[in-house]
Amino acid sequence: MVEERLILLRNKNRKGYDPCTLEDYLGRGGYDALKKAVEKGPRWVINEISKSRLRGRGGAGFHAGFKWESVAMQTNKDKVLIANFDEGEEGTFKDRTIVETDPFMLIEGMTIAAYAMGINKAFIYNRGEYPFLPPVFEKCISQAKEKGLLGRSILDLDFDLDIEVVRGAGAYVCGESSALLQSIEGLPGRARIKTKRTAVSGLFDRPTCVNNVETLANVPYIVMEGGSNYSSIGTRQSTGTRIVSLSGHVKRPGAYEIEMGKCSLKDIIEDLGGGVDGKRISSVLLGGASGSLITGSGLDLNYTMEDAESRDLTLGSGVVVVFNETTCPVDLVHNLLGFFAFESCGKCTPCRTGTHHLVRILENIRTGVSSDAEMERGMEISRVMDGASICGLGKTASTPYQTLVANFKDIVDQHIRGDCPSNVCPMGGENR
Amino acid sequence: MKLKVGIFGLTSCAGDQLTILNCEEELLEIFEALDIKVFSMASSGHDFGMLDIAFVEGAVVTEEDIEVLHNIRKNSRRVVAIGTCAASGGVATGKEIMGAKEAYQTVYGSTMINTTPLNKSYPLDYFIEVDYTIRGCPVRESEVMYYFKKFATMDPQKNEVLPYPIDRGVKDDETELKDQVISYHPEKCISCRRCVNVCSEGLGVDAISMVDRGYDEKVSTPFTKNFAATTCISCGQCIQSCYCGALKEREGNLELFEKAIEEGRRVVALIDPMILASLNENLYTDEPENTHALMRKMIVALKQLGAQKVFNYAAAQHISLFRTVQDSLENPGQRKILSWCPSANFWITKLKKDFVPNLDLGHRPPGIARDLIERRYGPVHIAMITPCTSMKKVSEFDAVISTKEISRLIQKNRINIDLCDIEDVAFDKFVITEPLIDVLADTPAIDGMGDEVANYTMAFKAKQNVFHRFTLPDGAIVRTLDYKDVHFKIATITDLTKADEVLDNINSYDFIEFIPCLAGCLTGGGQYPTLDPRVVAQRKERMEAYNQGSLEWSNRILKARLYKELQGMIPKACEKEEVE
Repeated sequence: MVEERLILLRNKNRKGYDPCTLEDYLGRGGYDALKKAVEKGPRWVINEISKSRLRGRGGAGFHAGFKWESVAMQTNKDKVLIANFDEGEEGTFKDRTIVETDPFMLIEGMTIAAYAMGINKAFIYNRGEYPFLPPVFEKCISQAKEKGLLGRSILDLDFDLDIEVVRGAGAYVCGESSALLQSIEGLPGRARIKTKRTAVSGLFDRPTCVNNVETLANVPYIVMEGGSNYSSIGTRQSTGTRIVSLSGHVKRPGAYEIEMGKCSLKDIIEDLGGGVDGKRISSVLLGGASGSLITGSGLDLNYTMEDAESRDLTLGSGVVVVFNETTCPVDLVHNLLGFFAFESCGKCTPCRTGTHHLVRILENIRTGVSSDAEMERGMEISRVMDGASICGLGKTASTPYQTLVANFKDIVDQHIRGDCPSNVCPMGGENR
Repeated sequence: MKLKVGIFGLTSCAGDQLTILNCEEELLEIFEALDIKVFSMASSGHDFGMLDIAFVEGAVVTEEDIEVLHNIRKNSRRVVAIGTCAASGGVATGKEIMGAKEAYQTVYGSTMINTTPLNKSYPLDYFIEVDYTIRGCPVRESEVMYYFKKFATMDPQKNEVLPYPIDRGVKDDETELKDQVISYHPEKCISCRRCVNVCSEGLGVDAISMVDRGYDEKVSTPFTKNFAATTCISCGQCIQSCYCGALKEREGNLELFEKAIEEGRRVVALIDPMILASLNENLYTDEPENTHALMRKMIVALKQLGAQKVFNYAAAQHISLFRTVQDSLENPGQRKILSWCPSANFWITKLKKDFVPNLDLGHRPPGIARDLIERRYGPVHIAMITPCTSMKKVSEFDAVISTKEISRLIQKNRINIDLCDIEDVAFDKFVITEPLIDVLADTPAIDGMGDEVANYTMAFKAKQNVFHRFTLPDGAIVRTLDYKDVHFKIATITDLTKADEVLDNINSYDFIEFIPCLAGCLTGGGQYPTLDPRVVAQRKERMEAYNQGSLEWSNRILKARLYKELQGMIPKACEKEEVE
């Protein structure tokens, strides 16, 4: 029986605890980490983060310590820190859970990060679909400012930090860091062609550090416990805990914080989610819309980044969506690709036309008028998209299609022959 | 009554016709609903009479193709280009790179084929007006079927399938043409963003941008307003940068010209010598490099088309120069920003409103030309032949025909300019009958206006050669001229993003000139599109060869003296403002 390991969500469901009150947060040991960080100095903080081997929780899994170091190295004084709170990935709600449980944890994490890298300006890029959270942030920021934990001369030191909340307009591509920067600059949210690294020239050509909310929320804990202690949680390459956004056909969907390497995908679904809601699991979407679609037989996967990589999968932003026998994988992927065709910004041709063509091919498969050759052409298109798109959206948009053809070959073949086993797709039978 | 349809093939692999034949299921229905008069592939008959719709596949690579194409256009109400070759020239364009002769040998070996190949491969809309374009190699069956079905049930409106997204402005025909000089055809656009980059980063104008997302992405103006209501300065650099012909100048000026001739009006033509820069890239002639002969051939061709007189626009430019110089000598330092370029004036009036008082709008060559011609010949219809798209907005001219359009007009009317007799052919005179002043009328100007004004001022005052000729470099350049009591500081800006530095210190300059087009008039919006530096260098050489001798210093002094002597004979132009 697997249980949650609560670090980020330790104040979840705590009675009498108001997340938006600074007194409550201070009463539970809040801002001790900032005081410790200030005592030890910025160099020490970055070293501890590097030692903790904390990896970005947004999906790419970039080492946070390395990113911080490269921003701290920049001599330009106007550096910027951005908390990427644009969790547009389908099935993700971990960042929202963190912010609703403990908004101060994020703000403290950002303050420590800014202190370590010598940054005076920070942004929280709030997802357009979360219009109710900016007021929460405003309330927290004003309280922190009153206590001297934010704003001018934090803790009576020569360290200023201003946090600004920016609201997105609801575009999925704005979760990609360069499109996010465009959006904050007031331009249409389209990915940039990356000739320079964001750490060198990002927002308004300044050195910029873009971190996921979950990554930043881990910072206070690492500073308090020390980097080497943190790295003892989890496995060697996947340290710490991970918040899994479990949804779909399970009995108890929700955000569960687990220690990495301690449980398999099956444990998560069975023990935490209470098992599948229906007869059997037909497919599991791992890592969100741009993640992989796996069959029920792949559930023995140990939930760590290295195990996922060894199977050519990705954990993405920690999404696990379970589908029972009433969902047809072809129909599902058709839906996902439709989403990408809608959300593609249109800047680069592989993504703009590739998503469009994949939707058409899937529409043909779905209605039983496709052929093996057309399916193969779809694979070719997805390889081009992988290699030639300029941002993560185009590079990963074809993953559901590729994994569909790889893992559900028999079901796709059945569709090509004109039969949908789940009786969902509009071909033959009662749905005609 | 059934619609009469023809399906034609020029030089191509016939793959698109094959696609139509392969639509087995629908083929019978189509043949029932439409009256297929010609189908090059399926039948051999070629006697087709008048058609409603002509589908044409293949590129234009031989003289015979041009002939067939003109025949098709003449006999069809609508022309639809099908396939990549018809839309953009196709693979045969490769012979431009490897040389026509070598390409011929590679493909055909020593076999002789009884055709006259052109030195390049052209899309259909290079020679004729194309109503619809279906791209693809081969075209998609469903797309062709869509058009067939559409035509079978009703006659579609132009651009009905993909609606023209930019507001066309006022409805009245002639004002509409003046309102907006650029048109956009989304069915041809490949979203490469070159036009947007030129407009925003190259010029800093930001009149167009990509709108919408994903597959629906297209080029548009802010809130799809018409171009006149945006910051567009009509420079036509977006047309220059467009690879696939999605951005073009508005059609209609040719029709105005033809209509005026049909109605029997007195039509005169004005030629800007700058058209010679790319005319030979457009017009197929035996000796494209002999610019003087080409110019004379153009005069003959225009007279054959129906123009009663043909004038040199450069003469009007020179008279404008003399008057500006006189003004600046009488009231120095009044109007510092001067340029002949209408689009530079739009740039000042639309984007740099603070500097409008400094703008010299007094002696505009278009006004001078119209005034002088009308004084001598009475009311006329003036057709201006120019490499400039912003000229199309100038109200003094009735029809403004670009370099691209004039060659199309000549091809369309089947005038072989190599057969034109150019003996004793010269430009007509504006007003002055004195033989001495002929030198004014035959002088083209390549230099910028600011520079020429300074030169002529020196010629008026100093009467001695003190400086050499000035060539346009990249970006901004500042020159100072000193001779005795005359001191000038002149800035010429060919990169508008560098203009602010000069405008901030406007008081320290005597003359400032702006040139929005990236290589001056050599790459004006009406020239054949290129941004290739090698081609621009060739064009420059060609223009310099044409100008040789006429820009000598002694020539300037002579002209200045002549002008002083004959001052009374040139009437003062009425001052017309051309900028809103």
